[in-house]
Amino acid sequence: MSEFNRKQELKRYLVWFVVGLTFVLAMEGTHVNPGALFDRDGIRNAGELLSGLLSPNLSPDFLHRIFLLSFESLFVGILGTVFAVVIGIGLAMFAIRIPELPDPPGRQGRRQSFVVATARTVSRFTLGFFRSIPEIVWAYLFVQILGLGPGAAVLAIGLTVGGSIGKLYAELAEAVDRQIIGGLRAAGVGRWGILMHGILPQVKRQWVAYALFRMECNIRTGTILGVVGAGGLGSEIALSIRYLEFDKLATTLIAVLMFVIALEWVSAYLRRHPVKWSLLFAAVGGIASFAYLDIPWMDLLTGNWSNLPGTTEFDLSAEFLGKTATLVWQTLLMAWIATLLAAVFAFFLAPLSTRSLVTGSYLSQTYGKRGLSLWMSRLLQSGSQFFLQVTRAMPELTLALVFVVWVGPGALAGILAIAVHNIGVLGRLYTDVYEEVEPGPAKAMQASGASGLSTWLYAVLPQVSPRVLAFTLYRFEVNVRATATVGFVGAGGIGDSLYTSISLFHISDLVVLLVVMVAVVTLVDQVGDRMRKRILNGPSCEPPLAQRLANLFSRTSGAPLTSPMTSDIPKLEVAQLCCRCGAAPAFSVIRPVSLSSQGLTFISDKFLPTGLMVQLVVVYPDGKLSSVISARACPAVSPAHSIDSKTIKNYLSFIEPAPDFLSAMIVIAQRDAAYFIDDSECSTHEKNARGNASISSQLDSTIA
Amino acid sequence: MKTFSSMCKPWQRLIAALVVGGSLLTSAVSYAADDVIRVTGIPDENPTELARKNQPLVDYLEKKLGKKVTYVAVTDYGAAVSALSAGKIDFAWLGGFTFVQARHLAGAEPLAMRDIDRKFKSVFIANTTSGIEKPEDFKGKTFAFGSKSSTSGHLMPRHYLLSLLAINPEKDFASLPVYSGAHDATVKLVESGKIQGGALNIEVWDRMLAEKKFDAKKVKLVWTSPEYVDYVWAARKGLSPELVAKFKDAFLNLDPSVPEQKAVLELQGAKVFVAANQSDFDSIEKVARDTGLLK
Repeated sequence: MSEFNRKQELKRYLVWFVVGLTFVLAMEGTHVNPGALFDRDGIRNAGELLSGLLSPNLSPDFLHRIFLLSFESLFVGILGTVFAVVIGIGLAMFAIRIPELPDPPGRQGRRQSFVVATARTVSRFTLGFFRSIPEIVWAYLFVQILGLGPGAAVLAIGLTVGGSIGKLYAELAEAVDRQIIGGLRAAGVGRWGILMHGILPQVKRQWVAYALFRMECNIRTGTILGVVGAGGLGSEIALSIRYLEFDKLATTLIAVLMFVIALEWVSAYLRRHPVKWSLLFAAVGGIASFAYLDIPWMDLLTGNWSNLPGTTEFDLSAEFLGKTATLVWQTLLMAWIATLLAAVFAFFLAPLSTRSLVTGSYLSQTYGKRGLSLWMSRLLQSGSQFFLQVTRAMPELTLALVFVVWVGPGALAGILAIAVHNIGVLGRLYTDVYEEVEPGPAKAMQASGASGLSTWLYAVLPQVSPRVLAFTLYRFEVNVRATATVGFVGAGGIGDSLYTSISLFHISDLVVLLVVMVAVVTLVDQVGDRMRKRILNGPSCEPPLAQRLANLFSRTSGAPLTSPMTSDIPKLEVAQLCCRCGAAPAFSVIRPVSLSSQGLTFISDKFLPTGLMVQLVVVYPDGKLSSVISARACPAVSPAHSIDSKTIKNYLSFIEPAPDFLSAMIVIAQRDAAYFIDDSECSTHEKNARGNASISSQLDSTIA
Repeated sequence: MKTFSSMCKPWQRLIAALVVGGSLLTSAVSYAADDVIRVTGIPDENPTELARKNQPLVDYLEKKLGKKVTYVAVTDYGAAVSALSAGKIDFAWLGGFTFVQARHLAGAEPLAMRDIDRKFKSVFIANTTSGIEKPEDFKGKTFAFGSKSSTSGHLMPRHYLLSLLAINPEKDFASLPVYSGAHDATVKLVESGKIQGGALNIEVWDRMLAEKKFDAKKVKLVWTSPEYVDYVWAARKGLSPELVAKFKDAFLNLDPSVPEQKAVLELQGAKVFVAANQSDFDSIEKVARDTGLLK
């Protein structure tokens, strides 16, 4: 193993060590004692909870009540989503920076572009503001205007979720195919025309899919906002826990679970069908909700907005600000611990619930599990799927209430609540990533007899790890906001102070806390956005600064620049170059030796028959695929050297050497060159020279 | 023939859609009837208990006022106060501290209170296994208040802990105090042993004791606080004076000799209702400011 290889390895272990260290330090920082879960009190509390949960209260009166409240929560979620989508689209329309739309020239054009830019800034800020304030705070504020009942919950969901939907919609709209927009632009279509005819048709499916996903979340939120007097099942959950009536809690939780799962079916159905079905569902659901929920909408217009308590004095003393800073820090630490905990559990549960990894096989003619072991695997798969489903269906606040009973109030309860909910969410996201894995590398490994575990480790994991990381970071951002809400039920973090300031009407404290929170959430989002972009796009493809300076220097001195097409010795990672020959992989153990614009030399376990058509796929480090290209196999490069199966060299000549395909392969090869080729026999230069020489001679002979 | 969409530019169509949607939205609005009187009470006990206590009262008020009366249940003290200040509730049964909040926020007016509310007390209780014998023993133990906005379950116990027992709730307990949310919930917490000590409303304690709502072997009374002013029926600002006067008289004229009215009095835990004045709550307001709960 080369020196560089070991260094890379060391660096990777160091990163994991640092992440582990932050976990330990964060645990220290929040002063939580995980032992409280299983000490004498903890076990007794857990036992009481469990025995109550196992015997749900099924008295007809209570069931009737829960049934009605469930519908209220359901309608709150649907109507809230409709509002959120209206608010989100309304603001996103202004927030979108249309690609390929240069500002029109001239004086009037300047004024127009100034208006557009201002509208964009304002709407982006509004979206960020709506998003940063938790639903439960909005709900509390709207109780002042709309009174007690579901109206406050609907508007609260509309604003917070509208903020995040709007942001995502704008991002999706900016990533559309630019050629269509360019065409419309060339035909003289204005901003609105481009939005309606160039962008909307391209993004509508994605928009609907995300709205449906958010609707599931919103109905879960709708079940808990009742805690602050905003209708739905929430008050029932809060009361059953306040009076330690766990049998009633069980009934309520089962109700939540049932209709969340039912809704997931509905949204899966809608996602598979044309957009108009979703619009119809939204319209019918919205009207039904309007009719069912008795909300005094006129109060929004005529209502006494002056009822909102105002304040002019702000407590900016060092003591209060210091306390706020401590709380913010604690909130961040809690979110970090919870995210890491959830990520670890989800990381191991997600492969178990992925069909192709557990029961199936990547090969079409399976040599995989049969009989009893297949059934065991299926059981394992449905078990972990069920676990992820249940944990995902439970809102953080509900879990926080439960954990407050189990381990007592404080940061630990909050951490556990967020962690358990996120096991479900992250597990689902990871599973989706796993299901989308390009099967080629895994097929190649399985064909050569690799076990399930090693297929996962070497063929699947390298494809998914960037997206898994990106999703984890994304959830951390979400969790910072969630941690701010669990404090409402006594589970630590800044939410406790928010709740105190709201319920005791300390308006000036509330304003300061909210400003601090919006600032922190915005900051975390910004940092997260950048880190995610970096993870997903890989390290910057630009050469390091020294190299760029050198290039600049060499350019000025007139030295010829080397084109990437002629780069000499790119090496490819096993799992990242996949070959398909007809139905099943004809060979495996691919070890690339050299790559040029004409073809690829590699080592495999057997000779390829002359003239065999092979398809090559490049898998980018972030798991995306590039176009497939055909290649024709030529006889072994140098049969004299190919004695044992580990050194059989083959040569594939590209039939259509598409430039972008090649450059993609070269980029991958260069990026991963450091540690995937283990060749102790000869230096890279020697091998390259030999490879190229033999390729050209081989080509000559083939053509001849 | 030109269709609507071909006549308009896209942005005009968008605006048209918004206008149509908006008008549909406003036409679907249901108007709240003005002749309904909405009353509520702070949720200091569990909702079934509150509903039992209040149904005869609602019937009585409907008869006296000649209008429909609805009781709006809330699960949070703050929600009751803000709904009253926002005019979403006309009359509310508030605690001393929540009344002071409502007065401070939106000029609520005190109407009537029970005879017992002028000399109300809190009790300090403990789990029998906690080893708490006298009030000073609460130091170093875990402790539960009721709701954060409760007078007899939080404000006054906190005041007496600080002033008479020299115990700072934020520093001298084994951990930060727990807020159970309601008086009966505090008893349940102490009974379960999850929390060692707690403070609550003496009226709820006496009734739970009489009705054997908890295991008397597990919870004991440690200390009873001095007297203070507590619960009151309050009216929001901006109601017609006749309605407020009628509502107040309905309480002051409750007659124990009439069987139905006797039932109302008994359920409210009162022998008679007396008039309440703004000045009755000045001492509570001072305590609330001193402890930093009212800002």
